[in-house]
Amino acid sequence: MIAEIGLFALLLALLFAFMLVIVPTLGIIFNKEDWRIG
Amino acid sequence: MQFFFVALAYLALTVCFLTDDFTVSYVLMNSSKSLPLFYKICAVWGGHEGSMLLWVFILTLWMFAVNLFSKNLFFPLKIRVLIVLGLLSIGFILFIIITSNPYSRQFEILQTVGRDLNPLLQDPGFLFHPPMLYMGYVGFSVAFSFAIAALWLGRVESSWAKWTRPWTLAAWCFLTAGITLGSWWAYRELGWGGWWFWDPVENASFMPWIVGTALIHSLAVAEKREQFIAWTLLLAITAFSLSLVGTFLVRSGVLTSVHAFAVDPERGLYILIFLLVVIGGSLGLFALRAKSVVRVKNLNLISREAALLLNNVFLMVIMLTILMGTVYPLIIDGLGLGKLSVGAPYFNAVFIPLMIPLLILMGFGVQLNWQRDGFKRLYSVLGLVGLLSLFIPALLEIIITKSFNLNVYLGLVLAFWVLLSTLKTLLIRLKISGFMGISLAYLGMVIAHLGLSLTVIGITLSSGYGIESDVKMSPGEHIFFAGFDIRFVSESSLTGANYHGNRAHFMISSNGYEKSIFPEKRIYNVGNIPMTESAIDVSLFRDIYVALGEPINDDSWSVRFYYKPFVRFIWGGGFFIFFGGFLALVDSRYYLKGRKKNKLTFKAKI
Repeated sequence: MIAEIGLFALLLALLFAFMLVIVPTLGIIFNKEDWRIG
Repeated sequence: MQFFFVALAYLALTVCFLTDDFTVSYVLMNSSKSLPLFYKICAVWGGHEGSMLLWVFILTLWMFAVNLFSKNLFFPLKIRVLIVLGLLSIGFILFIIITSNPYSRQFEILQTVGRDLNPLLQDPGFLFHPPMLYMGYVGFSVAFSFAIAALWLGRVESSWAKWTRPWTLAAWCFLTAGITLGSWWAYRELGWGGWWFWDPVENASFMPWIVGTALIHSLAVAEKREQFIAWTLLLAITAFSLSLVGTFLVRSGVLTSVHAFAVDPERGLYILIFLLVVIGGSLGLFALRAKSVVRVKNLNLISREAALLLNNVFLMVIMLTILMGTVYPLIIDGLGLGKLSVGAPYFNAVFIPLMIPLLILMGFGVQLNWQRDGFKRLYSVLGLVGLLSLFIPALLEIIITKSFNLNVYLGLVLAFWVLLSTLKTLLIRLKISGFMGISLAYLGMVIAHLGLSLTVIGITLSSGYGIESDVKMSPGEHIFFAGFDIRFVSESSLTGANYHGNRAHFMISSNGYEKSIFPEKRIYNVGNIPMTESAIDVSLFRDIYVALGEPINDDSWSVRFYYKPFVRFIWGGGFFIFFGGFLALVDSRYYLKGRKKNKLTFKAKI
């Protein structure tokens, strides 16, 4: 069970890493650089 | 949030180790029920999968730190830095999930004991060396991201260097500590008295360190004089690229070494592609944008900038010669020209001649003023220093050793040249501005340079006057070695938590001095792996190192003795270098007034 929690946490970390990259990149593309990372 | 989830994933793997969950393949392969608790915690990074998870954990830790401490950073730059770091973390998390899942379970082998952690790794050094090294490796990703973000924005100011410098210094400090600890650990653990092996994996950590050293020096010029900016960007890219190359060399299995507990060509392919994308992409971006950040300024040949540039050139040449020696066997093998290995004779032959001009230059470099200086002033400041550097080593060598070794003398001359020149510059600065007028960054520079001279003294004397001897001994016998009477007192059997073996008692005595030491020969229960645990009588100026070899018959053993004068200076110097970097890192100029001002200047130029 613990190992599965670990893997799930890693997948969630991957999801957040994608969000960290995609959302601000879209912000830069559409020239809205004034938003902030939470 | 990303940091939180990676930390949770890391914690979950640690819990698997602590609860001996042998259905998890990675735990089965790297732990055992009888493994002490301390090593169970460290065993998380004892194999490939866990150490990659540690890599990602440290990467997200750096990202968290960048987000936390860069509140005043020019926002478009900060966001780009985080995007680049985010891309790197995606690459590494995908690598773990696709090729190196540490959580995969197996139910075929019903084992309740575990295969145990590699005995070489069962040493207190294992707690610090890998995390420190990774903090350094991964830390260069921040300097790399700052460089890519600046190229992406197409603008680099001196404030960019001011922002990048503390992150680079932090990574460099960790890498210094990691390499020093690794060298100390190898000396203690590998049982043959060496402290550096020119092993490919050691080279893989040494190369980013050399480029990192060049980077912190060129960042100083970029910050103070707005020069070498394109070069500094290239160094930042190179330092992290070499960290990735290091990972590729260790993880792909293309090289075998004492670190060869991680070997897998398929994973190597992923890292190789990742490497090509990251390095190729960043160099491509550099090629496209470097023109826009180049500042052309006149460079006076006798100035600190010129000395630092020359220092950078030497450091890069040293790095390239080490890189060549490290990858040459791969190239020869790849071309089907046979197998060969490049070892210490090559590296010593190319490294030492390149260090000589670098050390000579260091003595001049610390004295030079920015912008313009003159031979006359240099001569008046350094004339006496030069004479003393020639005279003191000869005197010391003849008085202490009553002999003269030319190689040792030359090594000591260089060390004293750096030492005395650095002390002289400190004295001049103290005279001009007093103790309170000296910045921590300047003091850090002085201490780091003194540290390097101590390391050179340690290397020179321990290799020049070191003695080794292999003898057959039985309990009760004694030998005279390097002026010491060493008695083999007794030998007894030994039982540890996960090993058994023999323990010997040696008594070292000389002129009223007496010390007992206990070298061991261990057999680890899982796999019956033999290990030599050497015993060392440590003092500031010499080590006596005893390693138990093989039993020859019922009561006699082959025993190896080493006498290592000044060997502690090597790691002591390493600590000084680390501490110097740390002092420069905590210099308040980087955090208080300067930062707020920087934000304004950066914005004013949009």
